[in-house]
Amino acid sequence: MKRNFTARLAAGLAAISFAAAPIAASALLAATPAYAQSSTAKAAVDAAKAQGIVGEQGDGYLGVVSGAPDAALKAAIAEINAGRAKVYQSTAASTGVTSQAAGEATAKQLFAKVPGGQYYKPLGGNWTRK
Amino acid sequence: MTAFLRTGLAAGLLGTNAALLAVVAAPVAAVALSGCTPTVKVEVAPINIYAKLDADVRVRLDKEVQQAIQQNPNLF
Repeated sequence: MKRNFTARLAAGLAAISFAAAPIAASALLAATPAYAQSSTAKAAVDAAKAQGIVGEQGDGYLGVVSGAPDAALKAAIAEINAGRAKVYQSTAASTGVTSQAAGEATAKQLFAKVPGGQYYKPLGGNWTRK
Repeated sequence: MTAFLRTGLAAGLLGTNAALLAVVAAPVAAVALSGCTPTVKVEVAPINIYAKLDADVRVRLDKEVQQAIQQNPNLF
C-alpha cells in the first residue's frame, strides 16, 4: 500500500513537471505574442511588393510606392500595419522604449531582408529600389 | 541607400558615437554637395529616435524585434 502511494506520488510529480514545461515556454512566448493575422493579406502584400507597388518604410510600416492600390490591397496593407502596430506596442512595453523606436528598429532589420528589385523608404528619404 | 546601409553597418561595428557621427555625417555631406536647403532639417529629425537609445537598450530591442519578426510570419 505504501509502495503504491510512493509510486503514484512519483508519477504525479512527473506529470506536474511535464505540464510545467509548456507553461514556462508559453510564458516566455507571451513576452512577444503572435497576433491574429491572415496569410491572405500577407500573400497580397508580397505580390504587390514583387510588382513594386508596396514597400517597407523606415517607420516599420508598409507603404504604397506608386499608383493607386485596389480596395483589397489597401485592406491587406491596413490589416498588416494594424498587426504590426500591436507588435511594436508590445515590444516597446517589454523593452522600455516608444513603439515608434520599436518600429524603427524593426524597419532596420526588415530593410536588410528586402529582396533585390523591391522598394524600401528610409526615414526622411525617398522610395529606393534595392 | 548605400549610405543608409553603411550607416547601419558602422553602427554595429563602431558603437554609439561612431554611429551617431555616421548618421549625422551623411546628411551633412548631402548639404555640402547640394548647398544649404531647408529640407535637410526635415530629414535629420526622425532618424534619431532609434539612434539616440542607449547601446544596451538597442541590443535588447534588436533581440526582441528579431523574435517578434520570427513569431509573426504573416506580418513581416
